[in-house]
Amino acid sequence: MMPFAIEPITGRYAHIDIMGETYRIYFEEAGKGTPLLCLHTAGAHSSQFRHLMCDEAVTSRYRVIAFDLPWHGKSNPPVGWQDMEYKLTADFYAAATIAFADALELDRPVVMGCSMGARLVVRLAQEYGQKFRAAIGLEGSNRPSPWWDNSWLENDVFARGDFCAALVSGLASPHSPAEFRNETLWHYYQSGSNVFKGDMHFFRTDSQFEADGAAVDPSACKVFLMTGEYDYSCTPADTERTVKTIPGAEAIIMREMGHFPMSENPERFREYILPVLDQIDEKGD
Amino acid sequence: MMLAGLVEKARKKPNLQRLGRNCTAEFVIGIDDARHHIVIRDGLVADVLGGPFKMRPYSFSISASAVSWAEFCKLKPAPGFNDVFAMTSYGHAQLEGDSAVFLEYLRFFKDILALLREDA
Repeated sequence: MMPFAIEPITGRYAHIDIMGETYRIYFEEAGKGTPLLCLHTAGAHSSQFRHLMCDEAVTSRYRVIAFDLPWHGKSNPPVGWQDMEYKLTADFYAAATIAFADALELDRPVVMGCSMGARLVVRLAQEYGQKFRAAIGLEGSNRPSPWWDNSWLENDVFARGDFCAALVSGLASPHSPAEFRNETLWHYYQSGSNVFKGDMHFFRTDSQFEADGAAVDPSACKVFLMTGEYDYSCTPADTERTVKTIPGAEAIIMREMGHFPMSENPERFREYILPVLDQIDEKGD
Repeated sequence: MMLAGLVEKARKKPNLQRLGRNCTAEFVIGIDDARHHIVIRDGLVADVLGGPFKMRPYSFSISASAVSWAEFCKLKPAPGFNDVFAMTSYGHAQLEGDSAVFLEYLRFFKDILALLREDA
């Protein structure tokens, strides 16, 4: 039996203006040092980063912070949500991330996102590179590469968390521990109705960032794209193609890993992420 | 033969039957040129039929080569073979027909396919 233990993670709420609307945003954090701002996947929430927040090799030098995007986890949708259709846009997603970082007065954080979060960090590095000291995309590329037909989105099954979990379940690697694969899927079961579908608007339609890769200044914000070999949503080929379009970007292909590295296999993930964090640390700006 | 014992394996999984309790359907698993109809009744795998078939109806089909299915059936398949969507994504398998019933009971059908694995 596991002994009683309280994790070092703390959770709080902040009221933050995003594009003229005030949102009640939930965030979790642990550690001290360089801010490491984490962005969760579509249809999930910040718990995906819980292992990183309990890893002293990280938290001894990084302040790891993850927020739930509006509509996700414990963050509220806007007032009046009941009469709206949620559709995430690139502009809102970027604005929400910048607004959160500014509200918490994070000094040039490292931004690290997974899946749709990884797509966003490519845009953040292109457009707001001076605000971040590095950008890490876990399962990241610069354009949609759909593996299912867009017409499926018209099916009401997308309202259901159990469907969304089943849709993405194969993206986790068979080498990852079953306990953590299933915990990762539980986050999808927890999702609000149609939230995953709304995120797909960004991920499948409104995230063509291929043309602006050259805008990245690697001396200000180096881009790391780390992709699991079992990921067929963002394949290793997608990642390797993307880094060729971004000056100074580095591709790291993670063996035996799937689409959710930080939550599906935290032990294996730290073998890959710690050297990247070391490299960012050594640069030291 | 990867479909051997599927009916019995499914009967031993009460949670599988719970997931599919409202599902009655027939789908096809294609292995090379051979087609097998999997008959689902109220969440039970009622039958696996080997044909020959004369335009027997079904909802959807999942087809792949015997070599691809053999990789899928391993405990830890190679990348691109670990899930039906991994296989369709990389062109190792084809999903055809009316996907509505497949999507409606997606976890149920994926869990049936998982019974084809060596450890099931």
